[in-house]
Amino acid sequence: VAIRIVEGPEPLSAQALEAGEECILIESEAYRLLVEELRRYCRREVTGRSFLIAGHRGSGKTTMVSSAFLQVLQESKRRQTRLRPLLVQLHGPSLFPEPSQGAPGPSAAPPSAGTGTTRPKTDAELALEQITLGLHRAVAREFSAAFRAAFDVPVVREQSWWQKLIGIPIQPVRFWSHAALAELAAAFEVELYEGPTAARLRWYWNHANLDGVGILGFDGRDPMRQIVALSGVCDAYRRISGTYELEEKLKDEAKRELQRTLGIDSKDTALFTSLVSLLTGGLVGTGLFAAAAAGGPASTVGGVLSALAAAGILKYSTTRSGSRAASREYRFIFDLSAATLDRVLPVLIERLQLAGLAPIFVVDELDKVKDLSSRILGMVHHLKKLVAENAFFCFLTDRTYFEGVVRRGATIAYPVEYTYFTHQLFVAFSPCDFHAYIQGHEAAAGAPVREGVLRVPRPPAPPGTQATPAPSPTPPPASVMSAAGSASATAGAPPPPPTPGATLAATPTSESTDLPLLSYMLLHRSRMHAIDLRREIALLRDDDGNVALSPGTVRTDRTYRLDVQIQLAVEMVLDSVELRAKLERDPSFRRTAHDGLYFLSRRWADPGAAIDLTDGALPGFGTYLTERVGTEGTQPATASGLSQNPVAPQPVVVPVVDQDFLFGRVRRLATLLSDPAAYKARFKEWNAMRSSSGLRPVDQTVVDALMIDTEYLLEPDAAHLTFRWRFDTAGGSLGAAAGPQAAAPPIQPWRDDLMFVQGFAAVLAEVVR
Amino acid sequence: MIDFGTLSTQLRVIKTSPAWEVVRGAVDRLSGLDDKAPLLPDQSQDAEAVRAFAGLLRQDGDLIALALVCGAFVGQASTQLPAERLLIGLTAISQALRLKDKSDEVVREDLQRLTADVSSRFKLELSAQPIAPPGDVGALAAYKSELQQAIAGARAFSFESAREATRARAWPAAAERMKAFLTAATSSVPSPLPSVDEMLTLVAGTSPGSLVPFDLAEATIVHWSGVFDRASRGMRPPTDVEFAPPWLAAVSLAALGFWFKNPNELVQWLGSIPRASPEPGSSSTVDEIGNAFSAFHLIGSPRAERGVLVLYDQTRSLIADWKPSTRTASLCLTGGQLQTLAQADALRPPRLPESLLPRFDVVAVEDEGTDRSMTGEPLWTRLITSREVLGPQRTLGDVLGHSPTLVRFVRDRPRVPVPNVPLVPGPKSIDDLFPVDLTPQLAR
Repeated sequence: VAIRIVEGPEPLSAQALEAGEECILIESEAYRLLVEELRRYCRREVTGRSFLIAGHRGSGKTTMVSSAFLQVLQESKRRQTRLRPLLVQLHGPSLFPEPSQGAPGPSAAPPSAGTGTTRPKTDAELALEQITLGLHRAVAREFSAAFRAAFDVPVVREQSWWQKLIGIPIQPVRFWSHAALAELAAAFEVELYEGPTAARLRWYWNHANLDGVGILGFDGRDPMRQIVALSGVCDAYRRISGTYELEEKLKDEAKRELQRTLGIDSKDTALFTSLVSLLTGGLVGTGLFAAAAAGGPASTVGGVLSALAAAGILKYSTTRSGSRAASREYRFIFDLSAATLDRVLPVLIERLQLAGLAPIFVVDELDKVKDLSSRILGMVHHLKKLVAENAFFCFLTDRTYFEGVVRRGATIAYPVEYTYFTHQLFVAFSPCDFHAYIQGHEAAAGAPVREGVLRVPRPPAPPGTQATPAPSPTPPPASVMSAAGSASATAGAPPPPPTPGATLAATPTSESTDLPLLSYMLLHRSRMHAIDLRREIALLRDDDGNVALSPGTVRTDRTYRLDVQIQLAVEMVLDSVELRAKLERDPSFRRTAHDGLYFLSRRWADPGAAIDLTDGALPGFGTYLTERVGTEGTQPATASGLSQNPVAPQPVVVPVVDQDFLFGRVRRLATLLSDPAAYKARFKEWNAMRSSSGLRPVDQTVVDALMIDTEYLLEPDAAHLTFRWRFDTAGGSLGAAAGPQAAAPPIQPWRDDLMFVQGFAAVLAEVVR
Repeated sequence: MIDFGTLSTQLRVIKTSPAWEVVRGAVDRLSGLDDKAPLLPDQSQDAEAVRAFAGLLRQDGDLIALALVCGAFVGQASTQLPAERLLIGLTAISQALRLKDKSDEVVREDLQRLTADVSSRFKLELSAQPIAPPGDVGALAAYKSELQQAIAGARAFSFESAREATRARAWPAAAERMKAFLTAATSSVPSPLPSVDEMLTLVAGTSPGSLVPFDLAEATIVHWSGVFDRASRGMRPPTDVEFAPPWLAAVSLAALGFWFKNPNELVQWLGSIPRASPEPGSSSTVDEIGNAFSAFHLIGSPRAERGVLVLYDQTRSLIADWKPSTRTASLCLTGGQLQTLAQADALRPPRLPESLLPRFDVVAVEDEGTDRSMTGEPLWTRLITSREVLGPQRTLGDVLGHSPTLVRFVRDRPRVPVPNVPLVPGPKSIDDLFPVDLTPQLAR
């Protein structure tokens, strides 16, 4: 039995994403808030959120966001959310490239209409391109992976009414071989990066027999929405990947013709008319004469009149004929420039959501963008609705930008960032967060115990007691029902009740007793810094992945117990009323406070030197603090005191009032470490306060390891303002105590002690026999 | 074998620092040295560890004696071999009094209180006078003699002769602790520690000590469900080691998350379940259950958002270690227990009160021919049919007399990786197993 070191896979590693292995994370208030908001987004309770997440280098900002994504992803696979999160990673310096470098991809906007000249792209356009690229990459990866996975599970479909009627389930069968399906999946993946059309995607759906369920595996959702979403993203990808033009032509013709009489197309119309008139007049005159109804003159007059009428009619029909015609032609050229992506992206996001995916955009490395404060404003004006209301964005940056945003918020009424970032988080961890990371912890009632990095195998039950629950004497049945239950079901007799479950619990082992002390030791040696903590844990590891220290060593050797004693004192001071109140108001102050309180520990590297905590030492302490926390992201100062880069961000200066405040806390810490009575009194008060506020009291094994009855760690001068360490970091004594607490118990010869221990052990062995 | 390591790390009778494992090595290394020779740095470290441990023994020698005597007394209730009884007794005391959370001063006070309890309840003086810690090697002989005498006196106790009286005293004490546990959220009264009578019943393997763990926060859903099953059906007479009184049915339901605004229906229901003893539906049973609601302050608004009835495999189940949740009230039964209740028509309306119906969703899949796509199903479970659980010719509707709203039978299965298909970590709590049901929303 040994303490195992299990650091777990990184959140976005294949082991975490595919093998389902649990990640271990230092959780913080910021993490819990982020997870909850992500959860709400994936349940479609909110339409979008925009987080500014800041923290010191190595504080784990990226890991925190990735872990939050992974947690909600796994919840979605357990059907606890409506949408599946889709991580879209964006590189901050690519989103805001330096003007001299230009943006990756097409760097100039298309010629503007009329002028024919090109103009450089705006920050917003560049950002839109990068967002689209990232979105396409993420969507293509998601779909191609899902497409491949869809072949590895059997197709199970709902039975139709007639299948239920005849009682024979008939399931669809794929006729393609596995190799052919694999080839199909490979072709699909390749083609996704070439911008396939919707018709082409439909072809894949048909051939893969995915019409019913789609490839993302969501129940109860229209699978065709997946094609709609995917084709939309591919279309947007084409816009930014090259010159993409789309033209539509439409011709509209109309013709109108009016003709009342028959027209004869002849050039000799006049001759024809005369002939017809003469013939008509002759026929009429002949007819009248023959009928003897009229005399010769009358017949002649009748013929003439008829000839004249016929000529008149023919002339009329010619003049009434006419026609009209009109023709129009349309030409529509789609505007597919990057500038229109701001209209396209919300639609794409909405389509993805309808298909069951919730894009989460993570913009990392923003601290490497020069002049971020002013450049991000351009994006704010154009994309605020998209970023803050239509999607989930996380902007990861360092402390410098965060401080600027906070400062503007304090001095300007409702600056643009006020609503641009719906949440402003600073990643900092409390001692409880670190202890939970190392030892694990129990969350809310009913929630499982979260295991930490250091794990002790469950000890065996004590001898002569039952296991919980007691194993059934019968072999395990094939069904969920116990064997006794099955038998009784057929016999009709009630089954015997389960065996009583309550027994003596397993007793602690030496390793489980060491665990809390290791946690305090590690926190002190890492100065409660996330990346240093991982390094310290790595130093503890042996070849088998276990803690290299032999059991009990951390409880016995002074070098480790000193770490425990100092760390506990640091936590007591951190939890003082004033400091706790300040941290609640300003969580970003936590890292500064930690660095301040480890002032004494850092001076331990030179244990013989005096530690001056008089008023005159305050400027030196301020310099120490500035060195620790104030120079992040800035250029090193030159000899003249000026930064080499005139546009470099200003160093974060710890205000004098904060320096003074923390200096007072350091003095308090020094008092605790130099006065056992003060240490004991404060510990008693603090531990009681923890219990009353619902926190677990400090583990008794940690209390047992404190050397406050026999040792004190700092030697004060008469004024209790200058101190010296009494031990070096290896636990060796640095000379006889000369201070007021020098009344250590008399040291007996070791031989007497040895014989006493041996004798007592023999007595015990005889008595318990 | 009990040594200083057992007394410190396992039982927490004495301090855990310095560690006996390290000191024992130091003792071995120093034993062969000449005490006139100067010590090397490593040997000085050993000598310092031995000196510190000797100081610990000089300080807590009386505590060791006190614990051993008390352990010998409590261990007498065990039916194990005499050599193991002392360790069993000490373990029971350590866990009952939660010594792992206490300093040696408080441990001393608790053990002194325990000896006083033994004296008053069993008329047995465990130690005529406190055994003083030895200060040097010369005092060890007298210490040993006194301790052996005291342990022999404790081992003279016969639990069998005091069994029933002990159990009779243990029940009110257990009830008091359960009441404190159930009202902990609204009460500032600290939960009392288990009495010596409860310790003896645990070691003897009889109720009430054997029902649920001493630390009620450690009791699992399976623990409380077992208590409910026994208490509601009265499978054992009061003299049986597994007896559970009827009022425990109401208490266990509350511990599982079921709280009631109007308990009358529930009282009638519990009273109607056929019992082996006393007679089913007798007025005393109903009265006893009814009184429990007021005595344990169980009347109030439901705290859980939903309730589920879980069928579980007694021999291999995911949920064996899960604790009750404040969000999901849950009752775990084996298939046999479910059918027994069903045979008594206890789960059919109108026996099962209307107010309870929505709470008792049953975890089961639909009938054969499920309509779920495996592409979306987490691979740690395998869907099975109700016939697999309830046997042929039986459906859930047959058993319950109504169709439950949430139906899903799942069985955990080995996490066999399927190529290209991501695995999902299995559920680790009852809330994980029953996430918010989004199926209706997804269907929109």
